[in-house]
Amino acid sequence: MNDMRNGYLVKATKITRTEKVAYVCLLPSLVLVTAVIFYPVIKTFISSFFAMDLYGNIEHFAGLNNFKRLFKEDIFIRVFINTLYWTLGMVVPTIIISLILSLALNNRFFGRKFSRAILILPWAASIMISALLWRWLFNGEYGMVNRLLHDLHIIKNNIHWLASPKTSFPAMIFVGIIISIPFTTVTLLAGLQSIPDELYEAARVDGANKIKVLFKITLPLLKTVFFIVTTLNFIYIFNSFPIIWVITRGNPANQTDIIITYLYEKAFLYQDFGIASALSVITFLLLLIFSVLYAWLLYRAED
Amino acid sequence: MHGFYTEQRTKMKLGLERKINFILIYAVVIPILLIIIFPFLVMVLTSLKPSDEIYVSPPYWLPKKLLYKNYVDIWRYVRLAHYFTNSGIYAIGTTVLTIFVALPASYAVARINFRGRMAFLFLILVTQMFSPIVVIISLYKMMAFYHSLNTYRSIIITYAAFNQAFSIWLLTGYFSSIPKDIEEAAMIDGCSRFSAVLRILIPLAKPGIVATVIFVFIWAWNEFLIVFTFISTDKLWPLTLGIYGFIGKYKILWNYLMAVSFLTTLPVVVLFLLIEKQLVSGLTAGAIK
Repeated sequence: MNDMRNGYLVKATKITRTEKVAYVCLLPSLVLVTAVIFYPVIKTFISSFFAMDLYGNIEHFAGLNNFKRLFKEDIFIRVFINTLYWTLGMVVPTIIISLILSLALNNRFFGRKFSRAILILPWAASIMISALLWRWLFNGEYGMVNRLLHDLHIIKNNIHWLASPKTSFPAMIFVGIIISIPFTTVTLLAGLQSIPDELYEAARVDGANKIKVLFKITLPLLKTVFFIVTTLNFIYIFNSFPIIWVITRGNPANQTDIIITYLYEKAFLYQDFGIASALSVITFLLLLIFSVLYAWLLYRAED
Repeated sequence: MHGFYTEQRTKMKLGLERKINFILIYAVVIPILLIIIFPFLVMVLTSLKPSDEIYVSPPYWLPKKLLYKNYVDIWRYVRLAHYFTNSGIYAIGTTVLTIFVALPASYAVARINFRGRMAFLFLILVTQMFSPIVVIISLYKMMAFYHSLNTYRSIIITYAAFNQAFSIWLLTGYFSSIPKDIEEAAMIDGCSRFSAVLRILIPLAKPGIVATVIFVFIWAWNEFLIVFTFISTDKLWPLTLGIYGFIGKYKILWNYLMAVSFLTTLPVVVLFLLIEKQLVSGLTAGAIK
């Protein structure tokens, strides 16, 4: 609001003294972000249209050749499908579980503080370490997951979780969900706690039942937080490199790769910087499309 | 009379709600918390097992022989002190640079009305979407070009850039929540803008700044992708790479690995618990209003 008012007052003529102060204050941040993020993004876009040598030096203009080479690779479809499976398979359960968890944790009960302390463990720990822990737990012979399932009489023979993509990929999605739950739950919980009590009381006086209160008051008011959390989750999950890199490294034969691990392998193992740049551009565009689409859907639903 | 009946009904309803909550807590919260704590319990238990109890099938839950000595041995087995120092340098360096750059920017956004304010905010927040992986190739080439691979500065500068969005978001929220009046009064009394900020705003925003500092510190302490790409010499490895280095060895000594992981995780969990409340209120402050 202030902004607008001042916009009228200042008019578009002179830069005021206070504005100069503001611009000086912004400068370091802008320079840093431009040099380390925007400039490389633009460079990646440009270089995806060029042929490059093994050191990533630009050789000549190649048009869409890098993209064509990429689409011709047999494994690309697999990697692409894996990425969708990975992202949706993680975001949807994470959001649902976290919403239920946050609703439960919003009540006072014995051990609530302790519960929250446990909950933040995977958030505070390095994703790399969590991934490593689970790699050990999922070990077919010596891992505790099989031991636990044995003790609970759920399985008879050891499952070699990480040997086949059929089990290793879902296992990694499971790990991802566990890692994403804390941030999502705690943020949703903060959103819940910011809803004023009077609204609930008013609803109660009106005789609304719990389900009605949930759908008519809680969820609509939680919308903005929900939107932010889902989008951030989406971006984090899409980009969660260490889980796959540490647990299967995309193996066997790239069957468990997603776009970003495949990109990394192409760039730093095979030094095919052309294809890797093309993949970066695709990653960027996918993230952009999904975020915009999600925002649009959400705001349309609001009207 | 009427009042009495409504009271009764409310009480009954509360009873039902309590039951629903009870079920929710026992059917959802406890199983999930158990799954979450499970790997960390196994981490601690494995870290206390002697080496000959690691590769046993089926594995034992508890160590047959509790071996605290692992926690002594790892300091010799890997260059643990060294990795700790490096992690500290990266994390502290990143925190200092991030805050010094983000503080003035957040101040400007929160306190000054200038043209391009929304554009700047948008630009900064958009960087949240440019995850490191999208720029890692070009950044790697840039760092190679400036002979900065395998240096502390390559990591600290990159980390600081990727923490701008989040820090500015948090700090702006905190600054905006503090009333302008005192600062303005001080400035009218002849205090310069700079000293008004330094003497009034910064001390008032201290809890928020501390939360931001700790969050950035933890982020840098835990980061893997960027440091894995830019740093190849063992001499500059932080803890995350030191731990990752275990995997390369032909037979992983999981007891040592878990002991190192435990020592790496412990300080950040403690820090995190200290700031959690402030961090979360800062995160959602902008969203709710």
